[in-house]
Amino acid sequence: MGIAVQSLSKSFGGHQVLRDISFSISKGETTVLLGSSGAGKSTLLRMLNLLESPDQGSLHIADMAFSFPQKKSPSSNASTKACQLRRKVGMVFQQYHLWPHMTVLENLMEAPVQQGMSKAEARDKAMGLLERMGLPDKVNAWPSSLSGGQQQRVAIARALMLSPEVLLFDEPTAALDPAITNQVVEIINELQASGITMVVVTHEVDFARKIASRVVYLENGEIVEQGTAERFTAPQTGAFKRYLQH
Amino acid sequence: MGLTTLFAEATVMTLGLALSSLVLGLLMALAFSLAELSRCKPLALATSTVVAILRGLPEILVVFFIYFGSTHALFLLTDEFIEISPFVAGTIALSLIYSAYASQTLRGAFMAVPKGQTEAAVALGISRFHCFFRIILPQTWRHALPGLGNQWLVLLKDTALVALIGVHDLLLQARMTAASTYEPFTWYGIAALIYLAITLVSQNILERMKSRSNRHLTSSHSVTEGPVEKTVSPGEATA
Ligand SMILES: Nc1ncnc2c1ncn2[C@@H]1O[C@H](COP(=O)(O)OP(=O)(O)OP(=O)(O)O)[C@@H](O)[C@H]1O
Ligand SMILES: [Mg+2]
Repeated sequence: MGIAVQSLSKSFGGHQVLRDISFSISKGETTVLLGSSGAGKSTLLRMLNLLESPDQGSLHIADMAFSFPQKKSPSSNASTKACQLRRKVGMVFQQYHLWPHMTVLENLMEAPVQQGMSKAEARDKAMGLLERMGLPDKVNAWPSSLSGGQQQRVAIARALMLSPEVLLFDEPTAALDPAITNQVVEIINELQASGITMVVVTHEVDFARKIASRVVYLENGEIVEQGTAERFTAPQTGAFKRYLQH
Repeated sequence: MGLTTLFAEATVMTLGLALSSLVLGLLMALAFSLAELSRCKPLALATSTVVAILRGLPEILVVFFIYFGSTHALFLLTDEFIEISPFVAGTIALSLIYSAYASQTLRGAFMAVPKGQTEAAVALGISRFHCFFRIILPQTWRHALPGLGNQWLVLLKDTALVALIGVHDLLLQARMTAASTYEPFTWYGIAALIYLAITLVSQNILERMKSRSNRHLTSSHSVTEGPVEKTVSPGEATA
């Protein structure tokens, strides 16, 4: 089982951002979340690792179950559970958010070492991942000395350090030169081949087509259309059809 | 005892006073800045009020208030006449004054660390506590260092105020020697030179600390391109 979301809703101060969202994704699939600006894509993605907490609904992800509103049981318990979830569900932010005062290697080692991995093991794993991301010579570089695309690959490697079952991407190509987009496509396809379940928010239909095995299309906080990647060629709703034609 | 020894001891006293006030003041400034940023509104308001009062009073009044006021307060509380030493009173007063300014620098520096830094840590399952000390505080330090450094130089000179409550510091020593030898120019001049020397050494150390805290920004990429890096340095305004 990958991810199952039932009737999730979320409001920010009276403004309903997500309405009755339900979908399920099986293990190993790459799902693209599409929709125009303000549709609620980022908010939905952030809910999948509880950076936002839903008002209502339930969430099954990486063999853990959450239902909302959470019962007022000992709150530390809820946050420990959220912490466990986040170790299995990684996130790559649009702005990467690397820690600028740490080298690339330190960025990668921070979380696993805090969570009990030995330094030697973390270092080996980091080296392996940097190799895989094509950045073996950047081990000791400062993040500020890297290009946008390199920073993003470091951010992906940092998320992979915890061997997540699910990886979430918010607009992985938005801050990049179009020429680098293909690199991102390659990395995502490689990760998919290794069996990681991914959810990718994007604006770019071309990019979406290249990586998606499933698509979810949002408009004003509601799912308008969802299905397999075939929906790109055969959309079922007028709204999604229009969106694809822009 | 030779005058050299006396002046050396007075210098040690001034430095001890300044350094202990710095340590205590930094701890208090950290507490004040976190309290002011806390979501608990009454706590934030109470702290802002204390800081505003401390910044609004002449520094010598704070010194007098702590020295004479605390003895009086202890008398009212315990019915006994407990005298706190001028050194302790001076350290408390100076660290309060330092923390009132430093807390504002720190608060600005905390706010200058982008939210995404914490989020990235939370998203990796790093605990809040660990995140604060490993991710947030080191970046805050870089933003705050210039301001805190300025305030340290001010603190160093404010130590002269506690000569007035009888701490045997550099200024008091100079005044006593000047009075007994009738050579005020010489002895005040020597005190001035010692203060200047300490300031120069401090500035040198501060410069080195600053370049160390900026060592990750050496490339030209950093300022223009890095989405992770803000180059605001709000610390300097408050000295
Ligand atoms: N923390 C917040 N507080 C208040 N409103 C918020 C918050 N986060 C998001 N919103 C609102 O929720 C709505 C959806 O935002 P979201 O960022 O999820 O959209 P999006 O689909 O990712 O858009 P974009 O493509 O521009 O990134 C917007 O109207 C936004 O203003
Ligand atoms: Mg978004």
